[in-house]
Amino acid sequence: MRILVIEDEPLLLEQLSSSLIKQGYAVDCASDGEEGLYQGTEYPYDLAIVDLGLPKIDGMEVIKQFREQGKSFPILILTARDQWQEKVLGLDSGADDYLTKPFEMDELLARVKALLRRSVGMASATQNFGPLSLDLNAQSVSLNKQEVELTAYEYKVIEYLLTHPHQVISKTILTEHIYDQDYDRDSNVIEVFVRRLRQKLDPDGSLAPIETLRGRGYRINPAIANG
Amino acid sequence: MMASILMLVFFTITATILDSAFTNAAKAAEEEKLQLQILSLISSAEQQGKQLIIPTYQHETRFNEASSGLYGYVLNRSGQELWRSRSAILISPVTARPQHPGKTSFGLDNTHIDVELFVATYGTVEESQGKDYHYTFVVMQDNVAYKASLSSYRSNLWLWLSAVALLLLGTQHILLSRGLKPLHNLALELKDIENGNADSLSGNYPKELSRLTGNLNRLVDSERKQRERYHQRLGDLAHSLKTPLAVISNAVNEPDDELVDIVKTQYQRMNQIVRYQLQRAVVSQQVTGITKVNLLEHTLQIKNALDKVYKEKSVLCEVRVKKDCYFQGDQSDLLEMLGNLMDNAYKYGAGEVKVSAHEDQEKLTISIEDNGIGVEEDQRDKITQRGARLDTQELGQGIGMAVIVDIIKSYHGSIEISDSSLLGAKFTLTFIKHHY
Repeated sequence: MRILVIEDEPLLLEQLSSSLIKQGYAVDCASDGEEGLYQGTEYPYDLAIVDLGLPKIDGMEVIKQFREQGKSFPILILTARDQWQEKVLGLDSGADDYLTKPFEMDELLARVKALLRRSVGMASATQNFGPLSLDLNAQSVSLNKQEVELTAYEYKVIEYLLTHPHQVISKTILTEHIYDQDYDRDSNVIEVFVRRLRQKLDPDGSLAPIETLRGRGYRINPAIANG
Repeated sequence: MMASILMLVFFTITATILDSAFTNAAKAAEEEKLQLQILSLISSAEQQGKQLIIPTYQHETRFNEASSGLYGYVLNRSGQELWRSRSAILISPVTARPQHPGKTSFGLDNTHIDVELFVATYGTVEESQGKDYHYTFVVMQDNVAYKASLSSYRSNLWLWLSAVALLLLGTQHILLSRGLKPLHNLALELKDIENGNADSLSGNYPKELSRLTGNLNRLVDSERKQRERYHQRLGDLAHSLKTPLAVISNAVNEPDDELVDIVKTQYQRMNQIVRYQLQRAVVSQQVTGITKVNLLEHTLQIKNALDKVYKEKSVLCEVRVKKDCYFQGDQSDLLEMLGNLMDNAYKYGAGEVKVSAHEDQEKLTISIEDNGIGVEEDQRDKITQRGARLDTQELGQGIGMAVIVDIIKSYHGSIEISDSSLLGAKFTLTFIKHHY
């Protein structure tokens, strides 16, 4: 999952981004409203964290413009103001949740997870796909209740596929959502990840959890997509 | 000053207009008089054959006396003088030109030394033995009398106008200095307040100013109270931060894991203190009751916001507020109260929230209910009295209630906690109308 963080306080931006990266998210940073608006417009994100008091373009305006552009990713507001008027305005302008500064990083991560889960339509943090089970909180995948050992990028790929179970996901989309913009991408790597995932999640070849649709991309096998 | 200058300009213009009107009228009168004299000359003249006979002595005696100031002449068609009155014997020849029959003229002849003369002419035709004889009758009169009357008029005019202007200026000065005296006093008193020598304006002002001074006093008063509050808040803030700071400074020598705990706890405490004081600083202390805020509109705003935040809990929030129900006060205060109470209801309730309001002539009642576990009876007073003193706050308590209690107090309202028909807690806010 790829997250955009727009925050003008450099230290907080650094803390936010390193905490999120530690959690396995791909993170892009912007330190003012203009830059944030540009990135959010240009790249596909799964979530944005927006500080309300931003230089150049106000956070509220950035959110409004995202929504006007039809961007539907969830938005979490950070605000130093603890007033309801501010919260109501922020949520009215298109945000989905708010957090008042100072906040505990754990609280922020919990909100981010909840928002991401909500945005892909998962009612709880764990969901079953046939014998496979995805746990967003633990960031793990189990096969027949046995946790499968995955690298960080393997997990990112299977998480994205499982949270978008009925869609065909192209290699480009996968690349865009698991890497931040500074990463030197090579879509061939995706093929490597998928091959390894197939080996690990389906050692005897009976399940075929990831289908390849030639020239289009990957899809979770419809047989297990509904649980 | 400006008024005085305007008045002078006004008087000068008036005088000029009056002067010119009088001069014109006097000239017209002179002309009329001279025409009458011409008519009397004409009526005395008689055409006999080729000759025009005019009696040497005229009815108007001034024509008969030498240098009387009134002179008569008759000219023939070519302008040659045929006759002149006895009064004109010593006067130089007439400068007037012959006139066509029936035509008149009037003007001023200033070709003479020492004297200016009004000149009136009239052209006539006399008929004798079938022949027409053209004559021009000329009457001249010096303008000594005219000038005298004009100068007398002028001196009178200026005298009176100056007197009136002086009177007006004087009156204006007296009225202004009397009228502005209270304002002058007001400025002095305000200076005193600014310098800290006085607390408020005295009541000795005319009725017209009492509203202004009343408002100024209220402003000064609220400013002072605000200042005192700031002082108090700042003191509160500094003092309440001292305890956690002391705890941290004493904990320096504690083992690492305990130190971490202590720092965490004290950080939370300090955070809470800062948030609470910030909130209190923002709560509008000016309860004017002038603004009206629509209750339904703002309740729905909060509801929509909370529906978003608690999307997963899918809370059923019922709003029973009439469209024309108004809270008289500040919008952010209302949002703060509703936001905090409804947020609690969404958070602690089991998925059911009800907001209702009732308004009558005397009071506005707002209730927020939920179906949570409710509030124990012995806790109710404690919660509603919270916010009075920061020190009484226990760690971990939300600051929301304290802020609500503060706001309600500033509107002289009350808050009551009871059991809801939804089986949870019911918070009822009551605002008596004449209090705010």
